[in-house]
Amino acid sequence: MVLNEAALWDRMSRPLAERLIVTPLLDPDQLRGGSVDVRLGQEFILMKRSAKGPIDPLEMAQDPRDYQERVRVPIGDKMILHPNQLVLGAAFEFLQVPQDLMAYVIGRSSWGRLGLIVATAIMVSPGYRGSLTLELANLGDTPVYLYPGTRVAQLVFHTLTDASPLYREQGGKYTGPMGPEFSKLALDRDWAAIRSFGGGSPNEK
Amino acid sequence: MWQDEAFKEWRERLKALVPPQALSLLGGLEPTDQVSWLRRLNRNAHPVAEGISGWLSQLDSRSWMVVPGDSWDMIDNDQVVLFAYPEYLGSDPLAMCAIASVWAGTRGERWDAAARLLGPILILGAQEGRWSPSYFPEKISAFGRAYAAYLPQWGLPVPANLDANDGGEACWAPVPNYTPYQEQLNFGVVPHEVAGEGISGEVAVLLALYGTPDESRSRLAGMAYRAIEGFWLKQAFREVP
Repeated sequence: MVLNEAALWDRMSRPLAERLIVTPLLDPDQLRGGSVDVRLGQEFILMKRSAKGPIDPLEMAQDPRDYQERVRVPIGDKMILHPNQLVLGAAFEFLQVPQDLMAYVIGRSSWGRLGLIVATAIMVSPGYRGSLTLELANLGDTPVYLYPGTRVAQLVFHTLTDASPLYREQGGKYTGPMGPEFSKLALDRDWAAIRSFGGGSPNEK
Repeated sequence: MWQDEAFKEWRERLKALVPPQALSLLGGLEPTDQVSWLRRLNRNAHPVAEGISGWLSQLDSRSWMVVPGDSWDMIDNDQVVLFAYPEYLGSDPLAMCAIASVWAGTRGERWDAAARLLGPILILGAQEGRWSPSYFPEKISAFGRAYAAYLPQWGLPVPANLDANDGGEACWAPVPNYTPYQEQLNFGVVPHEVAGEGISGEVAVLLALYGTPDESRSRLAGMAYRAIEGFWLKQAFREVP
């Protein structure tokens, strides 16, 4: 069931351990209807062309500076997003999702119509805490400016039929970040099995 | 000597990247001090150091700039105050409050202004920022008199010669209610009020950060600063017609 506005305000006023937290809300209008608007934060990870080789999810220990660069764009400034460019950003707000809720991150259609995709991994697990990493991509043919502080996405919260074990206790990889985080795909337990099949890097065969 | 020419050329290269406002401060310095400041000015300050410096600059009518260095330092002229901070502390908003003590130096009227704005975190921030000049014991003593009732909860010794009738200096700001924010930080969330409201003020959050466990200090400092930054932005949003 999707939480409506009254339910969202109620959840945000409960005792700390079970509180839905989306803070700071710079404007109470961010919570309207059945969703909460989130703003674009100021930290970004720019993906760039690697000089040394491809990204191998099995070998994520390689120096990430070869294919990414962290930048900070303060509110009031802007950053260009070129066609087909991928940038990792983060929501400005810090989020705590109670154990019996989950959320979906949905891009705002106003940005979508300019070609901007805001999030691809759109589910936020029960118990998640931190600032959401947003995968920002420009699918249009024209560069678009990104302005930190603007509303880029909305969160829609759903109740679960049964309280879930906390995200951290389930082994979630992205708990507690305050800015964008790069992929931690290599932490997936599946890789051990895939390695055992003799997979891994083709160069190692 | 060719080495002198090479030094001058290198110094000019460093100067080329420095804002004119900052360059105006360096004119009267010895060449080695000038180069030391130029090297600092060629590095970006941490956003937290910049943010806290911007907030504290309300203490002075001049522009404040902050740069990373090895230790605390300050130079100024009629228009600009330039601080260097220990780079390894730049991400901690409470430690960066030491900027206020560095600025105050030995000038009583500046200490009064800083104590009115920051209250207890004037001294706690200086300690956390590892700023302890020779005149500091007397400032700590005044702080102890002003906040004697709070010293045990801050893990600080109550001075033995404390006069029970002495209310301390009049200029020290009162202690805000910081315990809800401390509870939130220790719980691992960004300080906030219920229903998504941001915090009520900077000092309460910084005081909440003081005394958090060392092992989680770096993470909690980031959370505290997010709350403070949100507070500033909310004020700025409100001022827009």
